[in-house]
Amino acid sequence: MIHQYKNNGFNIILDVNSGMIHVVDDLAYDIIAMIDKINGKNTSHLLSEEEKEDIINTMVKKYSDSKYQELFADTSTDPVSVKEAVMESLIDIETLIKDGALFTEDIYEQYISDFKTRSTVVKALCLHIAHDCNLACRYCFAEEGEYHGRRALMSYEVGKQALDFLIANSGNRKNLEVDFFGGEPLMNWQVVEDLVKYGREQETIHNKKFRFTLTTNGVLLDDHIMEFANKEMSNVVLSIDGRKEVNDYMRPSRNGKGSYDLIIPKFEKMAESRNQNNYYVRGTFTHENLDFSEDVKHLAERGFKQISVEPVVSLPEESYAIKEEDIPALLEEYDKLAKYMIEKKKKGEDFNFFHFMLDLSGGPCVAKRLSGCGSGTEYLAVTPWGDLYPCHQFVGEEEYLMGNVSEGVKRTDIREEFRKSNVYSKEKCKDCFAKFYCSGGCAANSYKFNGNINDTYDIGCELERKRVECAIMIKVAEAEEE
Amino acid sequence: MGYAIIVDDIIAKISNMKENKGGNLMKRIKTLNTRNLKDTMKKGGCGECQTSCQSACKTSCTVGNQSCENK
Repeated sequence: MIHQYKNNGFNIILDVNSGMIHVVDDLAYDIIAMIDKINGKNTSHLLSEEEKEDIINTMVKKYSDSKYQELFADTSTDPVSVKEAVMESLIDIETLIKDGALFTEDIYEQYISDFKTRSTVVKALCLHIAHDCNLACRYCFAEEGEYHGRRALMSYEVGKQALDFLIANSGNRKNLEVDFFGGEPLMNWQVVEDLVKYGREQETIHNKKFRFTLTTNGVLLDDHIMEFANKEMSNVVLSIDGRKEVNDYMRPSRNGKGSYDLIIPKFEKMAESRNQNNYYVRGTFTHENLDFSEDVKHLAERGFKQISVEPVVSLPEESYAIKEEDIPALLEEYDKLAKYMIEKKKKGEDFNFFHFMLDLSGGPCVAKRLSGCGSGTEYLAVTPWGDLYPCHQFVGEEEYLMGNVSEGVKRTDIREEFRKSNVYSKEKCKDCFAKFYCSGGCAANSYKFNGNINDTYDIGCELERKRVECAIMIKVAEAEEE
Repeated sequence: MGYAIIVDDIIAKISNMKENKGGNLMKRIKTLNTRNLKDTMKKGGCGECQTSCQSACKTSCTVGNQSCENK
């Protein structure tokens, strides 16, 4: 399977099963399109002489025209020269196919069978340090911080049990991750400090290494917390949506006042204190700010180098939900943002946008791409009472309650359901070019929109496909600059 | 028959060129320096990489945006 597309003046070919990326001129682009159409789903099909003749004749007919002279700069657009050029390209394409770089087969079927029976260990926990919040964000997954009326703070004892549970169930995995989340974890800060201290003691005893991260809305962020976080937190996620008016509309405090003026100086200070690394300013865009690239630009212009802005997840009836008719505008925004980033890089003012990050030479292996985020298996969420859920988005969904940190995972059937979920078990993922980038998407999105985790959230898919295209295009543009 | 002669001629012309593995010696196709996913089947699966929610996403699964930690 290939995916070919044009973006920002580049002709790009992604070979899905190998992950290989090719940049081609218009002639090669058209030839590859014809081969793709001829092959259909049968990638191992070798072109017959008739099929090659058909391609040659079609290309000669189109390109024997002086308006294409630029494509044939060192020859000419007479039919003989064009024919020779087409045949050269066909040989190059055959070479790429032989090298396993183009029109490659999907060979992961056996891998999938083994994958489904793999044993997993728990390697990451999302601790809900507080089911309470000092803001009232409209899109909050916990009902504007209200938590269905059940507010609570995690006790140190429950937190310790959570860390003990993680260590006991982590098998031979040395690197373990603990995310201090909520609600707003700074509302229960002492427990965070105490758990970090406990975790460091346990590291030595059990030969483990904790990687702590912290997510915060910044309201209670002060110098003491910043200093501690800089010493102990591998990553810090600072929640802010972008421009002041956008942020303050969606992220008001309980008295209705905005939070931007309070948090922006703290976040700027925090980002600088971490040398503009190992943190993210993390925003959410909604139907209320479809021009979200302006919010990313705003954050970039304020000097933030690590930015992540993501689409809201909500039920469709909310006024701020992203609707089908919003998609064309959003796709344009991703294109605009990609071009903006390229320009900024040329000026030496580059920044990272999380969803455009791509490590072509050292990206995740196939096993990781098939296992996705690890929710429900390697990654679990823990409520203030120690209840276990597949991830933070499932907290409160009683049918997905998996157990408790004191007793362990009781609902191993839920774990199995998540273990088996992958791009091959989702009908719509099989033929999607982005499948190895999104790994089938978010299970919680699928559940909220379709009632089960093996379906897809289609709006999310459209946006993800565009993000993958933009991320690849940026790499292509960087390669052209070199 | 003319086709076969032309093909032989072209093969002769390019027979001294190196194989295009991440290089850009093909006239109309440039391949970016990318790790082939198939190669990761042999040594992959160590599990040391981050679970992606831990990075930034918290809503959208973004495995493709990560790096391998086993380098």
